[in-house]
Amino acid sequence: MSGRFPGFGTLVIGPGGPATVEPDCLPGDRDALLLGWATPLSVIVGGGALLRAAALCPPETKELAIAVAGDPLSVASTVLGLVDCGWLLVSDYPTAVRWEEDQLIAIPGRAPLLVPGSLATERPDDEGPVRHGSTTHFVRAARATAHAVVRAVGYAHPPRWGDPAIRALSGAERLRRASSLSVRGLATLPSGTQSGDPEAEDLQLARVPAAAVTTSRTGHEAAGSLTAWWEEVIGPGVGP
Amino acid sequence: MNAHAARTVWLASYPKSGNTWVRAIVTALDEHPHLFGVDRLAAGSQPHQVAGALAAWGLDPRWLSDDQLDVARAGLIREVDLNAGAAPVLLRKTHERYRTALAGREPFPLDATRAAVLIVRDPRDVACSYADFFGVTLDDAIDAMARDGGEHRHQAALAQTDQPWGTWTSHAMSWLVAEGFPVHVVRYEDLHADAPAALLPVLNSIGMSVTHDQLVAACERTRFDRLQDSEDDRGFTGTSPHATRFFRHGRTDAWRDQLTPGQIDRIESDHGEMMARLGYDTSDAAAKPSAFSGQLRVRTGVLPAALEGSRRPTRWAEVTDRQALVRLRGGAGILVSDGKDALVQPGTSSDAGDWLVQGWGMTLAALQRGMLSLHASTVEVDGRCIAVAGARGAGKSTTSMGLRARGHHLLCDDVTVVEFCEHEARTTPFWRNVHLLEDSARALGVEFDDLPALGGLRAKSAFAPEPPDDRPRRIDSIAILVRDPHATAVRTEVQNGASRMAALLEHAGRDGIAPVILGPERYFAGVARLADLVPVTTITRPAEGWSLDEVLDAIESRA
Repeated sequence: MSGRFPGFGTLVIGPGGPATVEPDCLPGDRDALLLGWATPLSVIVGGGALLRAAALCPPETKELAIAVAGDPLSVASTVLGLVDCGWLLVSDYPTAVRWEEDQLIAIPGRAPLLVPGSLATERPDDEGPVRHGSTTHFVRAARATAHAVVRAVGYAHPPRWGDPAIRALSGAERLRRASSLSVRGLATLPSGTQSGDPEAEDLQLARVPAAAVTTSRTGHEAAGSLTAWWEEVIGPGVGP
Repeated sequence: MNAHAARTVWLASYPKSGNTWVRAIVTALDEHPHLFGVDRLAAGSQPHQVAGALAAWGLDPRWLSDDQLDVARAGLIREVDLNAGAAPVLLRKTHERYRTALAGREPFPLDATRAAVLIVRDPRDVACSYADFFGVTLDDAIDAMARDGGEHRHQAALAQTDQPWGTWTSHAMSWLVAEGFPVHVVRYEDLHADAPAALLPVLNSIGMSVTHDQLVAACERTRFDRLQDSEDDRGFTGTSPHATRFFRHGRTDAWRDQLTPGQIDRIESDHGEMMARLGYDTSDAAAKPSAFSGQLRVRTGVLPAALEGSRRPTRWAEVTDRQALVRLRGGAGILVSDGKDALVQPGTSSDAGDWLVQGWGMTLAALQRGMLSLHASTVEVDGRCIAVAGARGAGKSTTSMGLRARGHHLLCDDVTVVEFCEHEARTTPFWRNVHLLEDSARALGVEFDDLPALGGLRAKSAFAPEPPDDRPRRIDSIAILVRDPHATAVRTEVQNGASRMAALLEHAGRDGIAPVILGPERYFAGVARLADLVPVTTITRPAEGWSLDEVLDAIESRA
């Protein structure tokens, strides 16, 4: 398949996933085209799946991961909070995944951690804007390099009146949220490109313990809440 | 594509002007009654929010530059307009002001724009709703409405275009003068009075085939109480973290109960021309209510140990952006929030609630509402309102009771709330006990032992005067009582210029709390304005060997 974004560039994805990109004018667009567009598309063309979430694992248990989903600012701030608490980044949003029997496996991503500049500035690990004229910054983060089983999902959201710091989700709410977690039906892809059974996968995804977590600007409180909840879900002593 | 094919109609409004309400009505037109809910309103896709649409293309918008995002926005608007399916009209909400740009990156491409519906609301009500939604003071809301507002892409979560609102006036103006498509104006107040009548011609003009009966049914399903119920049941993504609910009360003219005359003046001064153009009357000053006529909502309870992130103007007071906490002797204290709610901890005194609310409670509330609070009593002497100020122990209460004994009207003891209205400094009296020392009471012929003792201030007792006439009135003069051990006789001195300002600063600071709550700039500007508007006289008396009558004579002569 091929795609073109005016003023940005063109990509061509071959059978099985390998991609080539050609920026329209700016050399910096090559990485952007590759990491920001071609790579996620390649995953799907290659028969994989994507989650609208970042994935992180605690340093002591690198084979297990939590997926962090939600609005982009809350996700970025929660991911930074977890990174500050010692969690390792498996993949920034979106996370490539695959199902192995009943287990959802997060595949380590190549793309760097990207966060809004407003969250990155004044951090020692801020590596500056993605490129000139971008409001997004790179942030250096310790990475996990092995595949990890997603054992929990945290849905981060901004503070809302009356909401607790963290609330475990169950039943219909977990299923409803799970159904929007997988990336499906991309406008750039021919119909039928994606493999798998969406309904079955949503039901499987809804089996993964999930919680809604309130996220402040720094994300540290959310990280604390998620870590404590993770220990409840996975068992004591497993978290960082 | 040509202009006739365009289907996008912009539902444009300054924030807090009724956009969501119109979207709810439009949603209810199409939605089965049992399915309607505020959690799934139509037309919610705003043009600056490009991230979701790009993600649907598999493109992570965080990798795009600002320029590319602008190009993407224009392209997406066209794309969505072209692929709107069978829908005759594509309504899209926006709070942005209208503007143009070079071809290929127009914020509102003309070839994808059929029309705009500009929803406007009385800016005085917008200010009240804005303050509640964004969790800011009314003054800050009024400031924001007079500034170029909006959200810059750099403030945003991730990858979106700018979202400039402009000022309340420039927002409306930008759409009213837009060229290339028709702009229909809908006033919130007209919707409130008769929504079907206000909306039917507009919806039909933009190409929606709607009958009056359909619209009446949709409006009935979206009555404000029903929107509130739906928000309670299903939640609403637009709910502010600062407010309990998005759909508050849907009133018009709520500003009459909430804004001070000074605040009304500012809004009318900032936006009067556009208000007139949109058919909003500007009120005359005499008809304006006082923000201080409303009482505090008081409850009793345990005060928090501390206010997070507070500043401490004194060791017994804490101030944050929205709250002020004062602790007094005997464990008593009061926490005032947002100028309207008070939490009282009576401590060891059973009657502490009253004097705390009438004293510090009203003072802190006034400051939070952007007013000054003079440490002064007010008395109406021969029809003129005199504020009698002074430090603790200077004799304010004794003097005001003495004037009362001479037949003048005691308006309020010890607390004078000052608000500005055009070229006047005004005060609205409220009922308050007079706190008297035993000597003062006996000198005034009041039987001290019959008075209830004041909690926490055992040396004083509370005298309950008659309720004052609580209409707002101009402060005609300020008399400052000074006790000077070196003075040998009562002396009167008119204060002018810097000495007037200095004299007032001493009695408006409220132990340093006022500059912290108001902010130093607004505090000094307020005191300067008071000094500019009201003559000030100091009445100096010796520590001993003087008579109350001499002081009262001096005040009467000033009046």
